[in-house]
Amino acid sequence: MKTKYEDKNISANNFEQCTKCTICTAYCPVVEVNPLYPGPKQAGPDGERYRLKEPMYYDMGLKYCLNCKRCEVACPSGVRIGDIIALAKAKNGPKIPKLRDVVLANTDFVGSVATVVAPVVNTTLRMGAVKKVMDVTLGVDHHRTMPAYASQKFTTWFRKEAAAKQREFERSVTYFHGCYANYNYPQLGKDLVKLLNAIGYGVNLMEGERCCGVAKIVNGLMKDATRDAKRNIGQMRRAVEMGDQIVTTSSTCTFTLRDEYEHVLGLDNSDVRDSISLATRFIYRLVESGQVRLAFREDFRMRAAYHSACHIEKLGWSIYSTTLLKMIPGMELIMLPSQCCGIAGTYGFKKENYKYSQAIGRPLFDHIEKLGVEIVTTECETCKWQIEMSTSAKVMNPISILAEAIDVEKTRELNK
Amino acid sequence: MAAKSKKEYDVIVIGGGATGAGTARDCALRGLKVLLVERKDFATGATGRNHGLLHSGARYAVTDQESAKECISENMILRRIARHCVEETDGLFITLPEDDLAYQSLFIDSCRKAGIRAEAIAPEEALRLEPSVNPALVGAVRVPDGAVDPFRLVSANVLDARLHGAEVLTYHEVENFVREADRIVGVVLRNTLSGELLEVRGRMTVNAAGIWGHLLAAKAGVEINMFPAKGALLVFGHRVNNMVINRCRKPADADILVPGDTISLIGTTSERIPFDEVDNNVVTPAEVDVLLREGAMLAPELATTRILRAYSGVRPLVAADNDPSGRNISRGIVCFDHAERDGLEGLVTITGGKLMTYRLMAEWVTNLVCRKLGVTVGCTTAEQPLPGSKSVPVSEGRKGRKEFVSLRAGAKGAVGRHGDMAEEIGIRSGKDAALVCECEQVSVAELRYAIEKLDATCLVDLRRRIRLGMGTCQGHLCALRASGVLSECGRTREQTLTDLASFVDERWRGVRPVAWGDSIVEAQFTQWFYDGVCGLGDIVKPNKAQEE
Amino acid sequence: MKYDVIIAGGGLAGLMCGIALQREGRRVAIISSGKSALHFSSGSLELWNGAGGSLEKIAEEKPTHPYAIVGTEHLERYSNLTKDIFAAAGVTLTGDYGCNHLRLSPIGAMRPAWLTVNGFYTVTNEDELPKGKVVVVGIEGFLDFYPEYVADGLRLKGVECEVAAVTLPALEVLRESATEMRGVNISRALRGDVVEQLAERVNAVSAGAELVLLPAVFGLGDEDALERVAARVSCQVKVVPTASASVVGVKMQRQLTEYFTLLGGTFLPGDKVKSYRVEQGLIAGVCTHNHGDVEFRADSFVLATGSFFGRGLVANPDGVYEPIFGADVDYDADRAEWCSKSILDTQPFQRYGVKVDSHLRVSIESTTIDNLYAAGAVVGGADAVKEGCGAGVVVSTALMVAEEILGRTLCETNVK
Repeated sequence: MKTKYEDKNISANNFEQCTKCTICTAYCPVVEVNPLYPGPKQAGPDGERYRLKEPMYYDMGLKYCLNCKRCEVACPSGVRIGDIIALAKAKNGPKIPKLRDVVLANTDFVGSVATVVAPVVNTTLRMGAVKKVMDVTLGVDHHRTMPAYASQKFTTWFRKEAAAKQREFERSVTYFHGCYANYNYPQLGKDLVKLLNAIGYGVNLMEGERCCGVAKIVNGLMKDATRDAKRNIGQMRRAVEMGDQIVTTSSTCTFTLRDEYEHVLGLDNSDVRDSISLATRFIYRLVESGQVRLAFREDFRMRAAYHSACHIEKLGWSIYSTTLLKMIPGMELIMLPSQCCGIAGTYGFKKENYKYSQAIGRPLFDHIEKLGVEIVTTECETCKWQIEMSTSAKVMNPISILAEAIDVEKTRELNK
Repeated sequence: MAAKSKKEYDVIVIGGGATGAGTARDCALRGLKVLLVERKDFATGATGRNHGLLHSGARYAVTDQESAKECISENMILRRIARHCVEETDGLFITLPEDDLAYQSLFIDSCRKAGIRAEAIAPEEALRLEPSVNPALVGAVRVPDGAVDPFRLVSANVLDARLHGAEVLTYHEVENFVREADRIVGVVLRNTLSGELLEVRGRMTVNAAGIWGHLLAAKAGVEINMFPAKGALLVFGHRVNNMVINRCRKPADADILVPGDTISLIGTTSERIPFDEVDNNVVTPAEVDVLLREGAMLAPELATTRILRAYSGVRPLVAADNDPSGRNISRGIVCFDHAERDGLEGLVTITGGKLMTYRLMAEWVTNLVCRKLGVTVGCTTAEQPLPGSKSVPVSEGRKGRKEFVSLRAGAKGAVGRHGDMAEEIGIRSGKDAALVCECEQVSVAELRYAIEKLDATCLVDLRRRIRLGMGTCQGHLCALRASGVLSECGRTREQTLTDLASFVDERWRGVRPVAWGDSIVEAQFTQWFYDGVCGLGDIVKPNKAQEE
Repeated sequence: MKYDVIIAGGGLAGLMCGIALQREGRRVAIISSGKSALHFSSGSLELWNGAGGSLEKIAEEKPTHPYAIVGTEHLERYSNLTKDIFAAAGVTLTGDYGCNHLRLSPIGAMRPAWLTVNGFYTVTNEDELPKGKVVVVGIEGFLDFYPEYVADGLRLKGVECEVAAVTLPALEVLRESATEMRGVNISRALRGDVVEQLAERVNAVSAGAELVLLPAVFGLGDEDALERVAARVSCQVKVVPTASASVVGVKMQRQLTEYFTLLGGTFLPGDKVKSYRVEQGLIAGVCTHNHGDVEFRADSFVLATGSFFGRGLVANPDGVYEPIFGADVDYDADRAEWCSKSILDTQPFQRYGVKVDSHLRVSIESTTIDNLYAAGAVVGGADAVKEGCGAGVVVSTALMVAEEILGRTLCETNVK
């Protein structure tokens, strides 16, 4: 009797592995609030059969998909429902994206222009009149304030203040900072450099890092996304060849670099995929294997709630951040129930999605307020915007908390 | 005998396959008073159990020029009159390295002789046109093959017959003929669900009962020498190919791959079977293996595509009267005037042929009937479009496309299935628009339409009318919902639950020969729910009359 | 990552085993690839319906049946433990070992059950059926529940029955979607005032009734929705299961998972064991799809991946396999023997599963692995449907494995 199993006459078409059990629809955050969305089963594997028959069977309601991938986490049959929907949107959806979507999708281009004139831009973006104009002309909901831009990019700071020092370290990693750390919140990048340096790792940046592309993917700009992705894969390949691991601070960038490049853009990233890691995972592994020891400040006190962002849930990597955070002696960490906050990157900025976005996040916001925590921690920057806009809590990346809690001197000593 | 008054018809057509339905339509269009009788449901015989290939005739060109010519002529007619049943995909006849490439030129010559457009194209071009085709091919010929939905085709013929005054009885079997001297003057029918008997009178009776025609003829005391040939096919989970793919060689087993609606079909095998297996044939593991092996030669992707089910049909092959041994079996059309042949007035038989030539068969036999009844009205079925194909489908043309895209799932499904008749399916509320069958996008409203307007009496009938349960889940998600809608349409609980059991069982019958991979998962789930959670098996037993 | 026990499979078996061990202080990680068959729960657990012969004689009559391996003398203890664990997770089960009660099915059949979630309609025997009027109340447009079926089933038993359908503006919204008028979504809409509004509508159609039966669509919006409806309706209110996905199943999965996590267990959703490592004849560690080369090590491993539905078993035309470890599987070598003619008949494939020894240990290529156990539907030998033993086999094997790992019997007073 044979014991080894072969995929013989078994479907290799992922959408066909759906057994129509409807479990995914029970976990879709959009279905709950928006009846115009056909639901992941119908939008994904069911719709796919029809689209293969005739592309006109494409359902316009697919635009309401958040790309949160919670359907994929729930599916007992391993169907990549979210990917099927993303691909269908790109292939069969409206071909000419709205100006608004192009603006929202080009996070890096818009970002690099905006940082130069940051004070002006930030003031403007907060002005009521401007928000109204953006609402009407672009369809960016006027309830939203576009994230503020920093006056100095992370990369500029790094080049001026940190780059030279990094050569002193024997070991190094390459940091994929992403658009958010670069344009909106350089402090996160600085925190990571501080943390990594403390444990004896120097930090390299990729040459000409591009946006990971997730915003372009969800807005249907596949060609642009592919161009950026190819560039990034090439750069990551160089880093890996040099012996570096690639670390990140954004869950969505990580997920995009590792999985969406292959599943949605159809690019081969197999030689670099396993070297791409969220920084907390990278550090956890060093700590677990005893290669690195951490020392924390004795006076550090924090009560924080951990929010498992959708793409962290998909990656399955929340254990790395939470295990590290739980190592901090003065930390009281509360786990929030895993649910979507509703923003989903650029999704919640769109006028047509605003009310759904807030309705999806409502239970999470209520939960946070009920707990009365001042700090929520999550690896996702767009969750941060959404939660800070919708609750009284401040949101920090676990890396920033670790950087604040760590006793740099002692840690350095321990790892000499 | 029921005390009902005996209704009189000009013609009683026996057999609800394509030929019977086409004959009923033709007779009705020529002003005859028609009764169409079917012992089960429409398209339950060979009509609903073949490829659904809209033959160009190319497949017969080398061996049977007459059939080839009939096919291409009917092919062009169906594109006009039944556009909502037809998919104009074109087909490829491919030559693989193990085939003789020299056959290709003979093939092309024969096609052209029969009037079939046939152009040799480069292997690269074939791959570009149809990416699923075996990349090892060394030659390809493009022909005007296509796909035709036999269920839809029969349904449209019946609908048109009714619109022209025909009456229809399904689940009625001929118990006996009513004979007066040397003339058949009517039939005694038995309702197969209730057992009730009914006598009807007809000036002419048409035997269009397919492979069962010889049994029917025997009841009238005449003999027709038929040879049941079983053919097995596999249904794949989605549309693998968009063009029909054939092997360019002498016709053999499992060498046609046809895209049909949301799925693809590979077939067929061919095996002579004894008559007692006609009503009870199953697809064997050996047949499944042949179909898989040969299918992967046409499109290698089939080896990694989900198989939804296997099914088989029986071709009604007829031995020529001068050759009772059956060695010289004809696939051509056979039309018997039993008065001339056997001295029995009032009965004619139309048989042989194929789905492609159903209209022509109907025309021949209707001509014969009219001649006998002294009716001089000519045949118009080649020109008059069927209901559903009377106007340009909304999905065509630029504006139409835009409109179509914005339709909801159930409405799109309905347009695809009913063409311009989809307008009859009024979606008045959210409840009407709700999908019962999510795999095939069938709404509550469409279900009601099929019950009210298309003679669907049970779930298995609904499958044939509107593809209910024909998709990936093979009915597990929709069966209970659909049975609930049926119960709201006035059926009793026992009827609908028996129906439900018959339906899940009928679906299982096709899944069983290929129950592995995702299909066994689905089957386990189906049994858990219907037998375990619901306790269906405790309440009712499947009704054999509704199964095929 | 080091744990005491790693369980592959996060359904009822994995969770029961994990909870039992975690309550005894073991560190457990559950790797769960998608949601489980719990999502189709009727609200009842079945132990044995009697169709498969006498439970007492099972050791002689069906020596490879899981109950023969578990030992029927232990079933009562496991039964009590099950109620205990469910109660601690927040699910009250009624019923007792040794006497089946009857539950109502979605099509009005009376089915034997062992333990049933509070709120579902059950009777000890048919004599207990109501003497007065019963009103079965459906929800307009909800296709997964037909009150007529339930009513007709009761009428056949001589019960006076009426049917009615109600709707509410909050539920009408769901109808805008062609596919999402499902139990789960109705349940989510039943929160706040909507619950009281529903109770009012039910009152209006149930004058003079002794009992009102509703579809089981309560508890995902507001936890106490059913209790609140019951409090407002003037007669007794009970629920009847619907077609999938089952609201009570979604809720049970959530509550058991939360309880396991609360006990300190690590639950890894949406992940799958990809490879394993053997050291001196024992499983030393497993790697998963999400965590790449981060190995999960443990002293004991439990295979609780379910049968075909959970992909714990996979079939191709050549055979039936256990895909993770390639464990030995009991099945008929001839494919033609797997299935029988009617889907409502006994199906041989339902019994297929991994071979286990008297300690529920699994073998690979005929060699027993001393630290690899199997629990739940992946264990061969039982026909969950025809013997009515699905949940009974799952919980008893899960708890027995926990005891095998602990090396002693569990006692039921361990609620923490």
